[in-house]
Amino acid sequence: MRRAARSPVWLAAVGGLALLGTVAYVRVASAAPPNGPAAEAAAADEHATRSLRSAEAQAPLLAIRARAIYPATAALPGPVEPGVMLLRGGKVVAVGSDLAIPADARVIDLPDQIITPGFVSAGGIERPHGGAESVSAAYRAIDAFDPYADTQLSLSRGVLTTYLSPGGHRLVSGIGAVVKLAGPRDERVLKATADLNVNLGVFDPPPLFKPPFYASSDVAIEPAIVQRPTSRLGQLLELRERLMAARELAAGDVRPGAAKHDVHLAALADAWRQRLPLRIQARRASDIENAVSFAKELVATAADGPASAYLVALSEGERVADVVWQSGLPVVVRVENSFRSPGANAGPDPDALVPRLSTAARLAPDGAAARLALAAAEGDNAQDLRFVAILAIRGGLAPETALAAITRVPAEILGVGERVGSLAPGRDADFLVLSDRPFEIGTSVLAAYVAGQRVYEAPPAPTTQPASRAARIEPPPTTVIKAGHIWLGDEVLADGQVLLERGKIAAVGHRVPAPPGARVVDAGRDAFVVPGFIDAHGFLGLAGDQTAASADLPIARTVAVADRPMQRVAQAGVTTVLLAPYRVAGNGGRVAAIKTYGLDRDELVSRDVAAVKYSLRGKDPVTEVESIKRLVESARRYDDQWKKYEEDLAKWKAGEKPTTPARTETEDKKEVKVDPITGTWEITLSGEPLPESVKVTAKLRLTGDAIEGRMTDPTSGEEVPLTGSLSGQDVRLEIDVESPIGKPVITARLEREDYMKGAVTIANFSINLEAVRVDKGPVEFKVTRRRGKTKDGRPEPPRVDEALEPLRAVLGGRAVIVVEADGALAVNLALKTLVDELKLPVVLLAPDGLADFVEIIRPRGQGVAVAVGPELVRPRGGVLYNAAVDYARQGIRIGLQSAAEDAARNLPLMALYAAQSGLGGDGALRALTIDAARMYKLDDRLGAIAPGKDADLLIFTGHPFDAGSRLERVIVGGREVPRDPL
Amino acid sequence: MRTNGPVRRALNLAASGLALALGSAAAWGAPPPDKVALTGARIIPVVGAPLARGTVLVERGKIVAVGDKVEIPYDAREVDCSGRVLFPGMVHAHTARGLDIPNEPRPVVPHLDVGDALDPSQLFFEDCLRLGVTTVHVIPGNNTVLGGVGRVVRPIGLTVADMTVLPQSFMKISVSEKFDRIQQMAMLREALAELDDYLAQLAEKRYEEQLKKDDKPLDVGPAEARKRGRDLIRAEDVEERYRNLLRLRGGQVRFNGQDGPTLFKPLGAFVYVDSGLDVGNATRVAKEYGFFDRVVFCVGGPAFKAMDELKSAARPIVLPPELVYRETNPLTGEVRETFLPRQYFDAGLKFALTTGTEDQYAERMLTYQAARCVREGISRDVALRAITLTPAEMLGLADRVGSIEVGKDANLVVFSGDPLEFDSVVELVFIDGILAYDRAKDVRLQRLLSEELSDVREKRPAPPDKTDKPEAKPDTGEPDADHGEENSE
Repeated sequence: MRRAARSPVWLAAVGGLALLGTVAYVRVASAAPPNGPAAEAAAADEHATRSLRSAEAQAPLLAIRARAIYPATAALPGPVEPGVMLLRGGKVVAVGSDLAIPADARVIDLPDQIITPGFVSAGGIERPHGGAESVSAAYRAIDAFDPYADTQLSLSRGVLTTYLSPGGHRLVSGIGAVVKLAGPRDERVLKATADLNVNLGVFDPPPLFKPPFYASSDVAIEPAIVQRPTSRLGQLLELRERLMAARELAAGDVRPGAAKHDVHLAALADAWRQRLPLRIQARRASDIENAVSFAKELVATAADGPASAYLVALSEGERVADVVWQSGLPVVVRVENSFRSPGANAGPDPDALVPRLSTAARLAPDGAAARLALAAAEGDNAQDLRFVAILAIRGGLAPETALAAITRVPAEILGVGERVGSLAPGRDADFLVLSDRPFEIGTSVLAAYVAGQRVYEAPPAPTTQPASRAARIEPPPTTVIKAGHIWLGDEVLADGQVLLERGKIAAVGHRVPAPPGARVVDAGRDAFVVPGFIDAHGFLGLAGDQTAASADLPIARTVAVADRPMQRVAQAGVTTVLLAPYRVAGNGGRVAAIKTYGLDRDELVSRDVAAVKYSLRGKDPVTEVESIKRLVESARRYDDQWKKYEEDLAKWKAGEKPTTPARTETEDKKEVKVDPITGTWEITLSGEPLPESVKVTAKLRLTGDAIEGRMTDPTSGEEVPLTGSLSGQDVRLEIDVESPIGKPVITARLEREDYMKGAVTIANFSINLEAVRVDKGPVEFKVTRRRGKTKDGRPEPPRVDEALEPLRAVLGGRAVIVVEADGALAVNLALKTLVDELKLPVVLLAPDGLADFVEIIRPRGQGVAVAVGPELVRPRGGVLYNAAVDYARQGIRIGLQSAAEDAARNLPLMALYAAQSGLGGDGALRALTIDAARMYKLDDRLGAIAPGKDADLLIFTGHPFDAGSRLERVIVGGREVPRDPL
Repeated sequence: MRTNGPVRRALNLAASGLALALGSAAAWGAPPPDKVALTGARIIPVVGAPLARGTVLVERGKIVAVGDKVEIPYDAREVDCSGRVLFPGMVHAHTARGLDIPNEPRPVVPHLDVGDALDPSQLFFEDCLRLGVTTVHVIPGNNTVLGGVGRVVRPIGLTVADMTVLPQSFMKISVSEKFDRIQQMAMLREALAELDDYLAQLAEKRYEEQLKKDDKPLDVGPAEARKRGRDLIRAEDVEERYRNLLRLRGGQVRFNGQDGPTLFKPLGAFVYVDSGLDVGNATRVAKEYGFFDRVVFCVGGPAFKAMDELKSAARPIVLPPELVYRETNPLTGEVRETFLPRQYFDAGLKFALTTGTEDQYAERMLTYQAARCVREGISRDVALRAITLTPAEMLGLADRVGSIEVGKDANLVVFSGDPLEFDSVVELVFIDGILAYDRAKDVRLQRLLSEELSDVREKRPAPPDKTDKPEAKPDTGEPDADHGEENSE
């Protein structure tokens, strides 16, 4: 899915739930036929969207199953776990734990996610108007509501419904409104005129200057009018006076137009006539008390006036908590503690407002009966509502009350409780999909729905994968795993969390950061998270191919994406297989470390060469070991070339001149002193199409059977490079000149010593060639290969020898040698040469009767490890004997090998069996994880849970090798391996 | 040379006078030739198919014949336009240039008329000629609530009266920009609602006057007096301040839901709507006060988001000079660009293109704006109309300007090539048959392009890289040696 497609417009157009997949791991268990699931789902969605409008009753039923649903109703404040919610036509039909899901319902599974009602911000979004009037009732907040604005920021914080305030900066600042921040545009406005905004404690409004229309000698410019209130004393007076004037106007007692038309008075009269509720914002204790008495008086006595009232802000509410509680007035408490910055200094002023976290809790002594809503400080624009609730909880508010205070109660206070704020039957299906419980610190909003339509989807966590890859496949999701026990590799972390990002483990600890949009998997307090299991030697995916593989065969290429047998192995918990060929050639075979699950080859192959496998089985061990030794020696020389090259390269990069590139040749000079090629040759070219014969000189040098050289171009006089080879007496040389018809090739035969004869051919042309060696001395010329491209002096890399590359990896400490051997003689000989003499790390594939070798292996310490299996338990001397236990007891590092293809899926069971027959659960776990990784030098990526390691994890319900433990999830490279449908 | 203020001003005046003189000598000097024949040009008439080679015959400022076989009267002055392109004079739908300031500081000034502030000597009008614009709708800027009425002018003439094509064209209303929207809307409603109160009081006053005239005592209460006085209101009774408002609301006296006499012709409104929400706000107000069917929307960048509302409103659109709207996703930081004309074109709405301020040279040219539209896939016909006939229709002048048709004003532009080609220049401009501009005699342009000035330009020490390589090279880590060598040559 392209990122560009994730625009709000697109969201609105597509709507629907099925596309939640990228963030929420949704699996749509559709009743529709299984073929083409994406198309089906999209079609179903479109259908759903359309029928929502036309016939709500016939709209399809949607069932959402989640880890928990918080209905936030008065009757059900706590969560329903696991939760099921039925939706139809944008409305909630039912919420419960074990609701029967009708057969025709489309089911969406959110096994890790939490559903709550969309948050309702009673504090709201402020758009303080610029009007100077102290009582400015004509200003309507709804005029500033932009239904086309980008509200993603608020939606990403979970606020779906908000109050719109005309500002808290005037005694009467205007008429507020209640709107949804998403959903169909014509259904956004829940209340265009919601209530009358009164703000106590706001003094000294600007003087009101009303310039006359064309001042003249008759029309004087009056000075600006000083407005009330200038002090606390005047504010209620002003308020009463204006309200009473409005009341008279509303009752028709005053002739409009008698005085100059006053829009604000007219608006106030309108508000009185409509019995708009009063919203009184007050911070100071005295203002709060005044607000309480004024509101009660007005609501109780004026039968034609405001129908109700509620209080907002209440920064000093704690001081008058009893008065407020006993008044029964609903309250919207602003948690005004600064949390984005330290805020202002209070100083020694005894009257300084120092907000306290406990205010909300004190104003709701009985949580269940409380009519308490929470809001952030003014100007927050409804973004940190959830965090504000967390702060109130820290101040002593019960979590259920806190949830109600940002959902149901504010909706009721604003008079829209029948539409939003709770998930009760008949309410709008406005809800959030949260990554975790609502008041966990790391929780983020993964998706938001209004009227059953998705209106927000968390953007994927940023990825730094190369563009080419990112374009091909989705990066693995960012995930936080919480569990009671995390097996780090050598020790267990209790009550831990692991953060997975981009297929790697990003953090491990008790509380790791949860990036926005991260999926949270809460495995539970008993759960064990362990590294993915490693099969120390297997043939997964070779499909019985017994062809002997040689050292240059890249076995990792046999890996196929979306391979069924492979997925079965992954589902069993084996996430890595050391893939070896069944049989190997004399120069050994490559062993690759591959993953059992991934979306492309890059993800599947952990290491191309993790080991080189040699087999002594059925061969003469003396000759074989000697041959391995020779291979290692030539690999060492090869490796030296590379080391030298890398040194030169480093020097070149640092700005030094490289040493003469002919270095290796000078070393070899003695050996090739009498070879049949090296030296200076005089070449005579003759025949058509040359008018006369041409003589040129060439310098040639033989290395192995490769020839390099330089020849003087007969036409230009420049030196041109020659490359080629000698096989037997036949010489083949390519002349490295550019020409549109190809490169000329010399084919000649050494007819006798120092003389060759042949032809130069280019395309169909051919001329005769005769050459005589005039000097056998070593020749000097600059390195010729790709000379043209390296005029900057960059040293040339040596030629890659695929057959020696694996051994080079061994010498470089990036791989090990796997030896398959039977019998004490072979094992002894192999270890003596490879470990003692050549100091190479060796993995021994468990030979038969391996107990006899313990004494051979043990003295060599960590230099030798054993891949035990495939048969763990054999009768020996009439007694069942577990080889793994014996090795482990002797301190020898062991891994478990399947030596099979997809039968590797039984490896965990083998380990369990080994555990119960003496290895112990921890021993079995180590053998399958950290020890196997270490013996193959893969512990930089695998075998442990630590930052930087691959995100290959298994989640068990208990210790992996406890009797009752169950493998719950398998994650490979950050991706959860899907389970097979039953 | 240093000169003091008055002298410099005098020089400037002289210069602009000179510039005007070169363009419109005919306008005030010798009477215009009765008959002019523009021959041999490729004609793009905007209405109908282009003519590969044709003649336009102008008689007494009107086009009397267009075609490839027009007989040229013996007494016609013939202008050979071979190899040139003849295009109708372009129409600028909406600009506050030509005024000294775009808006009065006070927000509610419906009684203002730009005619009082038009400055015929503004260079802007000279530029209009230079760029082929022959009809300009000058109207107060967007930074207002009720900003006053505009005026359609031609960019020649020494007095405002000379220039005027259509006085009191449209009221300028803005529901955004000047203040926050809450205040903006409240002020607009207040001003419009105030008219009701005023008319009611005026009716009462008129009834009382009538009684006084007849020497009768006041016999009824105020409510009845207003009812009876409604029909007594005469046009001259309406104060200047309320006259335009009354015209905006249809010109008919109406209050308390009852109709009185029609005193004035209705006035339309150019309503500036910046964002999506403004479209809804403007529509509601305009419908409430009865001038919605005379509204032209001057849209801002983000207004296209309310395309559904704009579509159902089906009112003409004046586009902003900046044709690309950019917005940033607050969560991901992605920037999305929208080419605005395309949105309106796809919605099937009629739109006019406008030009920007002085700082973006290219966007000062209507032809450039139209060329950008064609480049973005809008049909050439619609793009050409958006700078000629469509704005003419909006202004109610489609019978006079905006195309080359028989009977229309002879507002003609002779381009050196296709008008949408970037290297085409305006060579001649005729307004009402008068030769208003001749590039060959454009003193200011000649000075701009003259050797003398180009010498000055060359002598100015300019960074050597800027001329050939407009963008500074990003740091490639390469040594700077190459550059040094180049510079030393």
